[in-house]
Amino acid sequence: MRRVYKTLLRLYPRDYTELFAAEMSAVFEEVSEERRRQGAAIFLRFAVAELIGLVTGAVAEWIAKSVYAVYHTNSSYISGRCLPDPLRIRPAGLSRESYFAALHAPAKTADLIDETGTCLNAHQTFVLASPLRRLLILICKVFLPIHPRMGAKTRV
Amino acid sequence: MILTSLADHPRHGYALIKDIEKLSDGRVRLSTGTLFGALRRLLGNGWIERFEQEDTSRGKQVYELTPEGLRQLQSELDRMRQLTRAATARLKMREA
Repeated sequence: MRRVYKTLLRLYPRDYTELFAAEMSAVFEEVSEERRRQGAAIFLRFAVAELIGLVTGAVAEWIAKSVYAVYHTNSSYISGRCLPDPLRIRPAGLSRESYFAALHAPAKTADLIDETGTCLNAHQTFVLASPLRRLLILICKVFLPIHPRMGAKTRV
Repeated sequence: MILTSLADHPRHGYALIKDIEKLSDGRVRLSTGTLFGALRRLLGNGWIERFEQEDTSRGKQVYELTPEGLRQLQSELDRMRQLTRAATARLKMREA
């Protein structure tokens, strides 16, 4: 069932699956475990509903994407608001421990940023900043504090 | 229903499915495809936002209402209240 579900997830547009596929699979597994415990009939009903939901969902997403493409070019139909905010969602490849440690190290980050002559450690400043400055803040706030060499530099 | 479910506190996907089932007395059982399609639209409208919770064993993404989402929920509630009042008034007129 899990394999079928993951195969059907490929029916969705790629930009959608990049954002939601892992989370959808995790939720599906949790719900399917619970329904399995409730009995075969309930599980079967759940499985059919899930398959129909996935197919209709995929069709709806393709329609949304196509409609968006009529009015826009060279960009994803997924709104920028859907994209993960690295200050609130861990970027791929970072361990949970490193990520939350970096987020909870404002002093280190502030010290590091002060060296560049700007004080950009407030979330509000991040929101108001230009894309280039946002990138700089992100690098300073999330990636640099956990880099072993940069971490050593901030401790000095 | 998703906005209502998120009204008291943030929830992750599985908790949303369970809560909506409970809210509707078991009448609404969302499939994951339906739920995440709706979440995508709500995120796009800026009515909800997601974040990762530190205090969960797995890296679950949690959804919460934004101030804009809260306003939307309140205006939807006002609309439903108005509709209920109108329906009640008409039923009373019919009975009278």
